[in-house]
Amino acid sequence: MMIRRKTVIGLLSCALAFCALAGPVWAADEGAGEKHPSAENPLSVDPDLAIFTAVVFLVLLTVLWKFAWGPICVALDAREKGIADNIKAAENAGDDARKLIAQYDEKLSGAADEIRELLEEARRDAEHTKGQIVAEAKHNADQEWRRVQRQIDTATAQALKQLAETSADMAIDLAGRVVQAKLNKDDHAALIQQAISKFVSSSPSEN
Amino acid sequence: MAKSGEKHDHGEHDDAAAEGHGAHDPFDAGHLIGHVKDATYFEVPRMLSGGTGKLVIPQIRNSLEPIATISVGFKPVDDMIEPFEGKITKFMVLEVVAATLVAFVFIRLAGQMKGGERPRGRVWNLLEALLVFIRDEVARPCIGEHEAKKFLPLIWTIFFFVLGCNLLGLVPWLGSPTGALATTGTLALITFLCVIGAGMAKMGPVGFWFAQVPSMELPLPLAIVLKPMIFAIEVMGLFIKHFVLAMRLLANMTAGHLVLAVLLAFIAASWQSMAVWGVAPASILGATAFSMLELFVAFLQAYIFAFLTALFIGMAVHPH
Repeated sequence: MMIRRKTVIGLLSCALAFCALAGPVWAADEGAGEKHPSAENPLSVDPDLAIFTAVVFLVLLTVLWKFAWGPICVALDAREKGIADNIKAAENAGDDARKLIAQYDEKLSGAADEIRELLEEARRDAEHTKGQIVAEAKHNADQEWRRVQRQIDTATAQALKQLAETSADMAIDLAGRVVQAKLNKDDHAALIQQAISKFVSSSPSEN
Repeated sequence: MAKSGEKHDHGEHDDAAAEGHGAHDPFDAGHLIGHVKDATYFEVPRMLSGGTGKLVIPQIRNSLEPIATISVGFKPVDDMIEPFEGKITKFMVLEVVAATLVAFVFIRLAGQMKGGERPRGRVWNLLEALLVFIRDEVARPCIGEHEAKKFLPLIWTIFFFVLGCNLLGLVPWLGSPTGALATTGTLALITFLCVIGAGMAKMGPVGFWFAQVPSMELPLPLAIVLKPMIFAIEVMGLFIKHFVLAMRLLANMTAGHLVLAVLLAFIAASWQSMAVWGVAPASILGATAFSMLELFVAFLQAYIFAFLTALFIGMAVHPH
């Protein structure tokens, strides 16, 4: 702010000094002698200046055309072409990028399908395996069941056979005793009791 | 070379005249115009010019006699045409300065741009912005994309030469060469010749003049009467609009400098009284503010001159 104020004061001082110097020049200015009628006419035409202007302008035009405007036009055109090329290249790169994105999107959606398929397959495999295991387990269980059943049947058959044999032996034995001795009522009961207890003690198994 | 500037009779004054210090009216129209007009000397502070207040330009000729007097046989016009004297004037020097500056700046810019680098720095960007503005906003819309290329160097040169001449008028003790009808008229004449040349090159020497009449579906008897009249009006218009091109620039630059001269003349008028201490700062402030406007006008008028040049060329190569 201080600098700006100083600048303004400096400029005003310079302007004041200029006017102070120019003032006397102005005041001293005075027309003299016979003048051409055009001297004070702002629309007067000075052929000297007109010819000189034409020469200066045409020389300037020629010099600039050759050394400035030509190279500048070429440079501007080249830069514009460069910018246009860059924009085109950027557009192409953009298109390529968009295509790549589309491809990746496609791949991504394909990968999702693949994952879904894999999961489905895994699920199917798991289901299959599960079914297989269950079937196998069921099969094993059936086999075990049948084996146990067979063992039970065998044991039952053996028990029945043994029971039959034991019953026959006891019947024979009882019949022998009946035959050998006359039994009273108490003896009879004691014999039956004895036979039953024997039968119980000689039962084949509890299973 | 002899210093014969004092001997020329237009817009300059004998040292003897200095004896009448303060004797004339600073607001005299002729006197004010004398300060704005071309001369064979630069007005400088007395302390820089050995007390004369003038820096006389060395002349080639040491003679009062005109080389030739141009007359068209019509006194009002003859009175406007100064004799051809082969003199060197302030505006000639300033035109050379403006042309040299423009050439220096743009040849240097062309060298910088040759490398194909991007613009660096304020000056380079500013100049390129101006060049591209003239090309994209003036030449191409007015002349057409394809044809603008051929006329762009002319329009660039006109714009920067006029701008340079206008801006020199804002430098103290110098002047604006575009404040002379000889300068603006010559530039307008060059534009006119380019317009005619461009039109004839495009449509042929006869076709260009025929193209001045707009195509109208008129009955034959009416066309025989009207078309020559329209042709005359259009051709007159062609001349008038180029004359106005010169007058517009001249009027703007001269008027601005006259206003500045009047503002500063207040200082001269009050020089011998104490009032100068009040008048001078007010005049300086007024002149400073008006110089800002002049700076804008300098650019605006250069733009208008270049724009109208492009427009006239465009009208010549694309009639109606």
